[in-house]
Amino acid sequence: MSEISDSLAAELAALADGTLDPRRGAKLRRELERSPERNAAFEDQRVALASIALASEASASDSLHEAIAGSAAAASRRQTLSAPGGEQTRQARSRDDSRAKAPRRSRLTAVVASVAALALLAAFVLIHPSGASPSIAGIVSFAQKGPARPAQMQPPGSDRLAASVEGVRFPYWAKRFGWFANGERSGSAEKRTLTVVYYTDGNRQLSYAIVAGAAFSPSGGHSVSQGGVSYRLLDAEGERTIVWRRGGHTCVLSGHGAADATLLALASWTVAAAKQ
Amino acid sequence: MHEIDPEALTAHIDRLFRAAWALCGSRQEAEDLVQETFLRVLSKPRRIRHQDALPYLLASLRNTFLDDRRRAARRPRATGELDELQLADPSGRDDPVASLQTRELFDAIAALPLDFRLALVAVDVAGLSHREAAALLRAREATIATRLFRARTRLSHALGGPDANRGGERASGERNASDASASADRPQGREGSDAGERLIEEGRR
Repeated sequence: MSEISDSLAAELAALADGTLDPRRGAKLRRELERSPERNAAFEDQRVALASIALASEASASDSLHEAIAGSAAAASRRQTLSAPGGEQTRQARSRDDSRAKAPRRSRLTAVVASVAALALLAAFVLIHPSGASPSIAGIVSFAQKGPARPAQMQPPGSDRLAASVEGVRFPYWAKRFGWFANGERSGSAEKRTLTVVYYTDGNRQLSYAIVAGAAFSPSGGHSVSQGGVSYRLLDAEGERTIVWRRGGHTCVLSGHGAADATLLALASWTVAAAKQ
Repeated sequence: MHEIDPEALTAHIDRLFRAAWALCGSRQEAEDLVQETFLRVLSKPRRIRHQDALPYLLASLRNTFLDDRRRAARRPRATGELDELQLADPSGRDDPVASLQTRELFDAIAALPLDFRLALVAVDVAGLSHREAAALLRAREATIATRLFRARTRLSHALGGPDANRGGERASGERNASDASASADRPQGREGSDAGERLIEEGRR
């Protein structure tokens, strides 16, 4: 039986999941070549990680998704009501009640204002059935916060990463283009949930966002059509950005100083790979 | 401090579900666990230190899981485990082979000693950084990395990995301490099953 110290164990674990300092990693790899036992221990790490990556498509049932989405929407409404603005509205309503004997003209004005507000609200809901469309600037700004967690490994042999938004998976560009996924962030931008995967080629960084919910059409910039898909190229928050639709979702790929040709090549390859 | 946007939390449902499944080893229990976790979190407005809500959700999942375990330990056990029925994927997206492989994997993770399992679920299944996992589990980063090593080694062996017959690495400290909890914590572990070997073969490709 071999002895693997805690410090070596920690380093082997970090080497396997890519979090070990690159210099130390290179040295440790050379050491592994000289020790079959340690190399076997490292191989166990890789096998476990690959096995977990294979299971990364397991998803909760639709009924659970629906139940939680319902609870979240209800919580969101409660939160809005208890927010400072909501409190003021309630207080204002309470004050209005106490002024029941106010002059008739004031009451009429209040009724007209309420009806107008309701009409505006109804129009907003009709125009935006799945929530407001966020601006591309809002999405890029969210992406600029940087990774919140490491990227998950791609299932072996797959041209897509484990990360996904409502079934639309992020592409694996490392083999074809040399862009490695190195982080992720999920959250919301202007009331729409989205996930961003960050890619690097060693020098530059790109962020690829997929917005949950129905796709929307951005304006501005200019559009390029390729393979029947429309790609819109524009500047947002100081970054060159390309926007397109994939799997019914809006995708936004951006990077500081990124060339249009690079963005278009990555985006169109992703669309083509998804169709295969 | 940031107020959590309840609707943004739904982006984490599947990730949390996989973490729950790996923790408890049962798809059905995992669905219940995730639903209970979300109900707890959404019951009132929450403020968190960082923008990313995943670590907070995972902490809540872990607490819910541990509470459930404690409650279950106080209850008499039924003789027939509902889990043995192994219901099909209710989402209808199920690929039977992939589903079997996934179940084998999560069974094997659920059979790990609790400390190892929590570290592996936090980092490898849920995708937290070592630092986030250390904060979540109130341990040093180095301890998390050591637990990850032990957990992955055991997992690889349980799935019939390359060194399954070696008898496992023998190391100091934590491994031996966790052995005691392993047997008590473990459901019915399987080692070197056919499905596990298939999983590894695919993993190597």
